[in-house]
Amino acid sequence: MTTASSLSPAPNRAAAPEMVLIFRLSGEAFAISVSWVHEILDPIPMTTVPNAAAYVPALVNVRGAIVPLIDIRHRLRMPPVTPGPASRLVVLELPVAGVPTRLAIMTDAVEEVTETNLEALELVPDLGARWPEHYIRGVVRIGDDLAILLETENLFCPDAERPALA
Amino acid sequence: MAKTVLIIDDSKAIRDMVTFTLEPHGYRCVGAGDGSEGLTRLRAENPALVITDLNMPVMNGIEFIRHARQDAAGAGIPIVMLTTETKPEMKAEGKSAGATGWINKPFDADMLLSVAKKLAG
Amino acid sequence: MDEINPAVSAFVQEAREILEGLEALLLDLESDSDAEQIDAVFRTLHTVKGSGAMFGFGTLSRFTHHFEDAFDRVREGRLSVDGRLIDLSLKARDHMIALLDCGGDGPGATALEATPGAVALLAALAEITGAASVAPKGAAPQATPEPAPSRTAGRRWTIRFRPEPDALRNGMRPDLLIAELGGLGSVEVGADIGALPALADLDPTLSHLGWTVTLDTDQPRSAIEAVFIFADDAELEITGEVTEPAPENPVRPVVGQAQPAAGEASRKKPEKTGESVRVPAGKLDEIMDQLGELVIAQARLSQMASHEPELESVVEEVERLVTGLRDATLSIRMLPIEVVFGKFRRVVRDLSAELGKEVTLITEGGETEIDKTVIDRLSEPLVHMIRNSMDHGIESAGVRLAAGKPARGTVRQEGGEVLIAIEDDGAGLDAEAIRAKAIERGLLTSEAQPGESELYQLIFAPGFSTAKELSSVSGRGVGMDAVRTTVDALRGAVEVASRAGLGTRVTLRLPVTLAIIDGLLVRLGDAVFVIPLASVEECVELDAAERQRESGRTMLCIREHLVPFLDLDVVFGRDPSTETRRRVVIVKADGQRLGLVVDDILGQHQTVIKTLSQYHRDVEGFAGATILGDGSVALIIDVATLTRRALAERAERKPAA
Repeated sequence: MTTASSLSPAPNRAAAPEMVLIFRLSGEAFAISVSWVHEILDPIPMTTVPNAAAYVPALVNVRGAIVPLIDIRHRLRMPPVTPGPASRLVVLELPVAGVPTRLAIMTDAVEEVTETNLEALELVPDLGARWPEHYIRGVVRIGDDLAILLETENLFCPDAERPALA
Repeated sequence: MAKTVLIIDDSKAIRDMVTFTLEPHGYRCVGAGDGSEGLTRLRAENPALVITDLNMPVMNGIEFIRHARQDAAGAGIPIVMLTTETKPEMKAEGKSAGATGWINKPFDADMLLSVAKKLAG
Repeated sequence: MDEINPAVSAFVQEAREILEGLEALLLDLESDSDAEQIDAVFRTLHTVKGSGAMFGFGTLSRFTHHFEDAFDRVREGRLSVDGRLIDLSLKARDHMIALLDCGGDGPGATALEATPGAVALLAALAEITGAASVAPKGAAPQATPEPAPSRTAGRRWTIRFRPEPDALRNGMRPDLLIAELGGLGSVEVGADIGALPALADLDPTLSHLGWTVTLDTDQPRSAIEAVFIFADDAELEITGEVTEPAPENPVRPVVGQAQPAAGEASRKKPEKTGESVRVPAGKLDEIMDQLGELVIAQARLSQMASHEPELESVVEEVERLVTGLRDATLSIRMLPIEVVFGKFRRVVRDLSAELGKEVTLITEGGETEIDKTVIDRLSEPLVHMIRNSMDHGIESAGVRLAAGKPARGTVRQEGGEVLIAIEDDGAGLDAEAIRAKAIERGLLTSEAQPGESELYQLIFAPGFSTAKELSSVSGRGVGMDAVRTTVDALRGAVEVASRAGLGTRVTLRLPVTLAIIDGLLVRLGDAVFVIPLASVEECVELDAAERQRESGRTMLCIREHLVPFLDLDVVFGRDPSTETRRRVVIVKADGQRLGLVVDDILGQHQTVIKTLSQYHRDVEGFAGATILGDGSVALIIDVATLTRRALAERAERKPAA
């Protein structure tokens, strides 16, 4: 597993190309470093955890391991949707609050793994109003499209660890 | 073929120490934790030398020596007692039970080696 | 020393065990000093002294020698066993542990011996043994006294050697002895066959021969004698030529009488060393993990086989075997809590003396088994609770009318929990003082009127202490909040009850932290949950239990007993159930019965508890999660926290009635 150094936003750094996974939520393209991706599955039954925080509503069984499901739509303030035929569960493994953690996110579709050059990273311009800034590292260009590169350290940070956020 | 030495002592530390002292000199060491286990190993391994502690649970050293001498498996095998007491009567009792010799605890590597050489070659 | 490193660590481990046992022996000795006990102590010290010297712990060995001397005198009746001796002995034992911790001879051990405490200890030992000086008596005696090897000019020796007839049976190897002589110089060997019987009468297991060896060597006589140290009952004559005094007859008659070693046979050896195997904790964890996986796999197998009648009996057999294996493995990690009680005795004794209060410790339930990791974490807090109890709870001798009222430590197991209580019959907690202190510390406003048990809970707040004086032990207010922290970490609870003039009782409630439990599967809507079977008392149909109101709260009346209940639909924030024939699972926790209302009961299931991730750890009411036979995830209900919550709700409601 790569270390946190790849998480630090450093638009000015002369950087090596980074491999990212592109997926969609409600038509929007998002990117996440492929080094965190453990596997991709078709949706499987989930168990709701009563009284859990809204951003981590359920648990899933991934090959015998009980994995929490993070609702990133909730964190990104997107309305919920019912999964469709292209929906995929992406299982990630990454450090959360210093602890190596396995977790899962639900996506509407998984598109590709591609190389993107961090040099091409542009800080979020007018999109800043739309997405919570602390979850975004920036934007990467994928062909004609723009994908939003997610800041995983904040995105998956447990509520307890967070300083008071909007 | 390497000569086998059977070390009977309820202290693993002692068994380890004997093994580490003798193995580099070509002896193959096997261990037992009490006199009864010692008898089993004696019959199974037919060692060239037996070193036994005296104070052990289940079956003590003197008992082991007596049984060993009564058993065909133990005939003629040199048996050395590890004695912590320097009282003569302990050695005498061991001798009359059939022990070949003794080593006083604490002993060091040289002492152990010289006795092994003397009794097992 | 590196060559025997593994042996050294084995020695350290063994020595530690021995010294732990020694503490118990000494404490026993104080109440019951018979010859056997004294002997046991002596032999323990003798063993450590001897082994210490062998494994590079010379300083420890030499110190132990003084200690051993004292007990030698006790054995001989020249010194009596009294409180002072035991005190000194316990301190000496502690010192031995400290020396052991130094890791062997070296600057650390030397420095330790030079500390004022150590010097005083040695002086005290010397005083009672009447030793002229405390100078170490030198290294332990060697096996063979080795006189200075003086090389004489080359001499010729004649050695006549005839073993006893049965010497061969006893392992003598004349060939090796002669070879050893050969190693000293140049030899000529002749055999004396005069006593050889006819072949028909020859017993090959007997020795019929003698030898005459002529040896040219510059080694001293002692070197030749050394060859024959084990042959002292043989005929042996060593004659040196040239100005050799009349040959001494080195046949050494054995002195003294062989005494039956009655002491050995009756020696009580602590059971641990002879009959158990040491296993690294990591290995045990590995086995537990594997076992957990096995249980899950077996559950799936059972599920799949439920549709295949042919497989039924085999699958049942597998289930039986896995359950057996599970139980056996789980029990490996369980130790009787007695282990911790052992420490108490020492604490009570030391504190008794220090505080000038005579206290007896009574323990019950020591055989209750608890997971080793829990025991390890509990030691400190429990010891602290005892100290607190003794220091503040129990009044000084002057105050108490009868000397020696007991402090009590008890352990009970109740359902899915273990209860550990420390109780004293001292003055009881001073509610007023606690209140005042709490207000002073800002933990309570002056208007607040907390209930008694809530007030007492404040003693666990960090920095809280109502002790008027600080003793060396408590009063610094550090300890009790550590107790609370540990108990919380173990997901338990602590309760305090007290009556002025009658005493105080502090109870720890701990979930029995087994990784694999028998669970009851219950259904709420389309969700399945697991309730640990150990907490379940019974299950009844909801209709059969009438609802009754009591102090403004609806209770269930089950066979004429009122039981509070929780509707899990409500507790879990689900839509209210529309099912008609619902069930109530009566559980017991915290000494309270509680009814949990569910839609249906699906059966029993062996489940492996997986702890929840940091995302769900704080969610109230769940002890973990598990994977069921069909692959779905089910949450395991934490009965204790639900019960506490229910009680809290009840308490809140009361005034509103």
